[in-house]
Amino acid sequence: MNKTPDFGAVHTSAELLTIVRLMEEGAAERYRELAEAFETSCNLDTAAAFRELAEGEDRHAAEFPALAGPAPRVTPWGEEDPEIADPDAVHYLMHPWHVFELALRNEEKTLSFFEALAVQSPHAEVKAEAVRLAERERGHVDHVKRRMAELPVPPDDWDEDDDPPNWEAGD
Amino acid sequence: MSSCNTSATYTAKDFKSDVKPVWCPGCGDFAVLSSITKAFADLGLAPHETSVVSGIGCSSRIPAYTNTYGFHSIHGRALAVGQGLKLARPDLTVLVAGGDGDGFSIGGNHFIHACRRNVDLTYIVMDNRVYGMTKGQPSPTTESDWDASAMAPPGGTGMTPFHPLAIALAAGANFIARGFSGDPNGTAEIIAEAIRHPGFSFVAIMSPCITFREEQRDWKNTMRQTAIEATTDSAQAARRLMTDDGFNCGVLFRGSRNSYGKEKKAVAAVSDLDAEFAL
Ligand SMILES: Cc1ncc(C[n+]2csc(CCOP(=O)(O)OP(=O)(O)O)c2C)c(N)n1
Ligand code: SF4
Ligand SMILES: [Mg+2]
Repeated sequence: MNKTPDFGAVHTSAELLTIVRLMEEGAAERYRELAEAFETSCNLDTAAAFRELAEGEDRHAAEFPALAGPAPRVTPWGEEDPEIADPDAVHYLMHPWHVFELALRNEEKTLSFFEALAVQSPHAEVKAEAVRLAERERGHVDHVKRRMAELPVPPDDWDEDDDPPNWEAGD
Repeated sequence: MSSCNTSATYTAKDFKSDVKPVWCPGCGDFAVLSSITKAFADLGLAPHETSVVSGIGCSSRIPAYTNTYGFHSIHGRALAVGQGLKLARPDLTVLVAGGDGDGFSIGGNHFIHACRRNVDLTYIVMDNRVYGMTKGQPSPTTESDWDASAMAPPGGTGMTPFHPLAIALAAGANFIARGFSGDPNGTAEIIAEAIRHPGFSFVAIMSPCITFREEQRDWKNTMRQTAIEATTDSAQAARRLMTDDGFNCGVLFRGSRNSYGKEKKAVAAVSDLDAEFAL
């Protein structure tokens, strides 16, 4: 369901910053929702990892000016907001390491979006802002990589469940 | 209802309740909840003007998670309750929501007649082609050969899947669309349009059950935005829907029937009716 990004849709730097704040807020909300879902399903280490990400995104959002007036309706990145976790990219047995692996994918997608915007936007002001945002995003990518390196790599059979939900006859 | 400020504008967050969903992490229904609350906010509705009515199932838990009026009713009866509510309180925006089991098995007859009756409400079915809540039995929309669970007969049910959109059209629904939980913004736009459209609006939202139908994770590669404009011609819509492969998302039909209820004013006072029953 990918629509092609519309790099000309954002006209000013202020508009871009508002959109980025909304992206960060959306990501925080999504990670918090996942933290709550994992708390509900008693995978508490994974829940804590999602909570850490949500708090990080809250801090990122606070770096941008609060919204003045209604949010712009443009979604310049096409259909999928790069900062938002794939809704189905999670598994009930996933480990904290997987959480950061997922975050890394999202941060990398966001970075490539800003890099592309810096090249393809027809507006000079937006190009310059996108260069700064890409630099900032590289910092997020490095941070997530560092966190991933601190965590134990899950064993190969991490998703094996002795009592799987969808058991088949004879199991 | 935590808020009742008539002059405020509300955000999607204001339409979410404090109750935390018990859905499996990664269930498509999370995104549907976000699309519904976003649609309410985009339409400028207020929580006290809005209601969410459901039946029973994982998807049907949605009234608990929305900060609106709501009714978590009984299995298959959401449309009966929702239509009653709309007729009694036409000022409320009524959204009825549930699953493919709730809406097309036990509630199948209500679905057909709600399409015919054309009360001004929006009906959302979160279709995962399975009974999620009861652990993986086939539903009317399940593929006939699906047997990847001990809850399904060997070789599958052998029954032709129900085609909800075609049935809705044949039965008289006034607005027909398909959304996908993997496209929450697009789905929110469809829901908003469905609510604005008069009469019975039906929106099937493909929403993966990642626990009992893990293969539905692949829907993100198969669902597509339909390349065709919605038609207002039911014959053309019928041809399109009968050749539809189930992966086209967007508004597919916009009808122009008058909604039920407008001209159905009470013709007698309750006391007169009482008198008729006097012994
Ligand atoms: C009268 C009645 N019959 C059967 C049930 C058992 N039951 C609960 S939910 C459900 C099916 C739910 O499937 P669906 O509507 O597709 O929702 P999902 O869980 O997949 O979202 C059934 C059969 C019930 N609760 N009440
Ligand atoms: S069983 Fe399926 S439908 Fe129910 S919450 Fe889990 S993933 Fe969602
Ligand atoms: Mg279902």
